[in-house]
Amino acid sequence: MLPFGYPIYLLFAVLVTIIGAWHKLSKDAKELIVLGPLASGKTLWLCFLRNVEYKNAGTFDRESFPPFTFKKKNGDSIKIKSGYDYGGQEENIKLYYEQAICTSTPKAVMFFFSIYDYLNNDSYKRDVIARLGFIENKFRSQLDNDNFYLVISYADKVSDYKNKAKEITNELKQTHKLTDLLSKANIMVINATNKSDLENLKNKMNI
Amino acid sequence: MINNILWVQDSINADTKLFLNGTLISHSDERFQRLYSVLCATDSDRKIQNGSKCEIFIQGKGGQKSYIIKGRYSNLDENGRRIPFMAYINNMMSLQQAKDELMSISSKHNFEIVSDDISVSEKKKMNLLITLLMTIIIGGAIGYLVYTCVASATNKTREATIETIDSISFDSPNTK
Repeated sequence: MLPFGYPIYLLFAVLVTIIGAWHKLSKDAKELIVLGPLASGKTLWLCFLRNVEYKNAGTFDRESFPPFTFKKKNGDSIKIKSGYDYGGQEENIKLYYEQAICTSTPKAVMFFFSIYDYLNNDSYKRDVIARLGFIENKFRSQLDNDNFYLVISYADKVSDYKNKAKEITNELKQTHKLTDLLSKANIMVINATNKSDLENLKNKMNI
Repeated sequence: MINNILWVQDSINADTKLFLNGTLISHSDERFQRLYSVLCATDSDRKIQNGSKCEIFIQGKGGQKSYIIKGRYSNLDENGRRIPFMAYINNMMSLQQAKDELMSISSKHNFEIVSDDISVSEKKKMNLLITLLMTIIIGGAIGYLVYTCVASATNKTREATIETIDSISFDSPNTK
């Protein structure tokens, strides 16, 4: 015979299990901050990582995403906290960049930009340099603990993209003095519309 | 007096546009960032989750309210992406009125809203977590009620059975 009030104990056990699982998940979860100018592949990347359908649409100031887990080829699972997909507009730098990257939670900060636009549009290039300068300034003290990824996207639009990407990163280090940030950066050159490139980037993620 | 603010990102090769009461505000204008912040400061606002594809926030209660609506026009940019917008609509009596005002402001700049993207119901839909918790609590309560009813009925049956057995054992002719 079941003791009196058994369903109450069961309900309590279910609630404790749910709260415990939620607490464990949120304790282990890391932050993923994806920044960069307009149309650089940020949303595409986040949709790929979250395994949700990408809709070809611009992002307004920022759009929240729920916690998720992604699995790497070596079997490692990485839990990501709920966060935001930040729009690439310039006005978001002042409003969101600092509050996004200057938190104590272990995190990876990724900065995307289009190699094609960098090489062919001077104002885009200035914008990228200014944003990286801002990130270096605010993120410098966290570089020993957190990871920074420089993702040079749309490689398919540029011939000899490997050498061009090397020239760009050397220029950013030497001419624009972004040595602190870029000497510790994981630098990747990808075609953001190619799934195997995105898969490769995912497997190199370390948070 | 701010009646409305509209921000649009209609090109990936040019600056975003911000209109205050229909007037374009340049990026170098000191008001630009402040007005943009008004559109983004929605953390403490009430969000309407009524199935709309747009994000809708309300400031104020009762009569005159302000609405912040974030979404995408049906118009496309150079990359074929739907153009994102954010709008602050002040002094509105209802979401329907705010939607009409937004459609009117947008059409002045040749942008078109997909009407179904903004549902005008102001009733909230429960989110998944609340639905799950409610299901567990209500399910637990129903389970408890069913259990107590069944347990009570079982006890009565057992008492009745014992009485019957007792009466048989005392009155049975075999015992005599």
